[in-house]
Amino acid sequence: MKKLKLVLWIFVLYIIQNIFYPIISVTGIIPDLLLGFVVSYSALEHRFNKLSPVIIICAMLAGTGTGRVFPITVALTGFAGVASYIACGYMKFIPQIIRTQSVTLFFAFLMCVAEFFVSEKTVTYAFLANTALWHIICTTAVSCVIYLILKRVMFKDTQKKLLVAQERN
Amino acid sequence: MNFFSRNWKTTVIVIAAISAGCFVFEHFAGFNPVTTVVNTVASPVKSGFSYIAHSLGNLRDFVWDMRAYREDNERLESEIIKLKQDARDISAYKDENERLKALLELSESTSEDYESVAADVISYSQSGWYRSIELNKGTIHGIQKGNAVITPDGVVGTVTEAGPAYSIVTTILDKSSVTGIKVSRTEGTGLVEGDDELAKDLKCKLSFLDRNTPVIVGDVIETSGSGGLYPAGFVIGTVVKVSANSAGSLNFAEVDPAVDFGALRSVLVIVGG
Repeated sequence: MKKLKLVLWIFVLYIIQNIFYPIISVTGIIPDLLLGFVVSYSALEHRFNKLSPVIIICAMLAGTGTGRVFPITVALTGFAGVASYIACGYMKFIPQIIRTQSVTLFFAFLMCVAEFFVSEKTVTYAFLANTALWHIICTTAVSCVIYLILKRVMFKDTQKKLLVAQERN
Repeated sequence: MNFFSRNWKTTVIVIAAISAGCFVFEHFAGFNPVTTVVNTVASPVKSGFSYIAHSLGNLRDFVWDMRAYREDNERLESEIIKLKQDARDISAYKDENERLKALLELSESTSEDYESVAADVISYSQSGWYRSIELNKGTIHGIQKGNAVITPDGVVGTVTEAGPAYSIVTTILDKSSVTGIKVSRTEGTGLVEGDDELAKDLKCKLSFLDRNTPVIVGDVIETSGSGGLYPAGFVIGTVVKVSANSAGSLNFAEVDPAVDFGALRSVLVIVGG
């Protein structure tokens, strides 16, 4: 059942980002849904053997998006997932959602700048202020929402088991 | 998936290898195999969802357009109401303009013989049947008791009371009103007087007509100038009914006044001549 939910999540986000993007666009900026999903899922899924195929598949799907630079998108999306997983093991005094969205923010910025640089061979202040900033804000906001929904829909039982295990220990 | 178990470094290497491999392949072969496969497989699905997206977009546009159409509709309805009101006002102004023009023409046509003052009707007699009317001008405008009151249509009556800024006119419908007349067709003379019963139908009574000049329905009755009340030649009305006795002689005739007392707004008072 969980695998089915996972497949549906990836499928729906892929379709929304590629077909229904007018619904999610904010002043022409389309937030990166698959990046937000990869980071959120990596933060919530503690078993890396289950996580790594999801990261690879989501990264490749994100790379096939219209207008995306495949190598950059795949690399950064994949690294974002791994970074999110690693970040869960450190600085546990910071709430997990903040650690997760910090990773989203950083990699969204990197992706935006890298793709612009590849196409324009430069990075301008106007681009940073008008496009990159909004892209980061929108992607982080969407990632927050995805994280909260994922946590409630797919990882509610897992959280309970973890708490029980912690109490026993 | 033990290969990836707890070894995130392996995953990073795999991702980097996929990126670099596809970059090199695309550089030399001109296409990206992963993108080609994914887009080929996903194309039918994307087409289906694209159709749904367009339909939803059209529906959203329709709803937005409907809102805009509704606002336009309300705005246009308000404009129509205002335009209708303006049209009614213009029609009223036009009627008033024509009425005043006719009054002015009458005043100009009689100015050589008579001096006249235009006045507006401000009220009617309380008893109804337009036996008397009140005008908005009086002695300070030159109006005196006994002055004749006319309109372009015909004779209204005579001033029976004159205040500084008002006048009371007794119309030809009132039973106390007696006017010397002549029949336009035959030049026969007679009297038109008011009658209580006929006044209810806004009619006057023609009596004391010259026996040698019979009157028929449709005859125009005008003032004869005798008696000194009205100048000669002003229309009083039209004969609508003739009542004769057993011998065939005229008892009286009913006269329909030329003036529409119900729609009387402006009159001309002949103050001198």
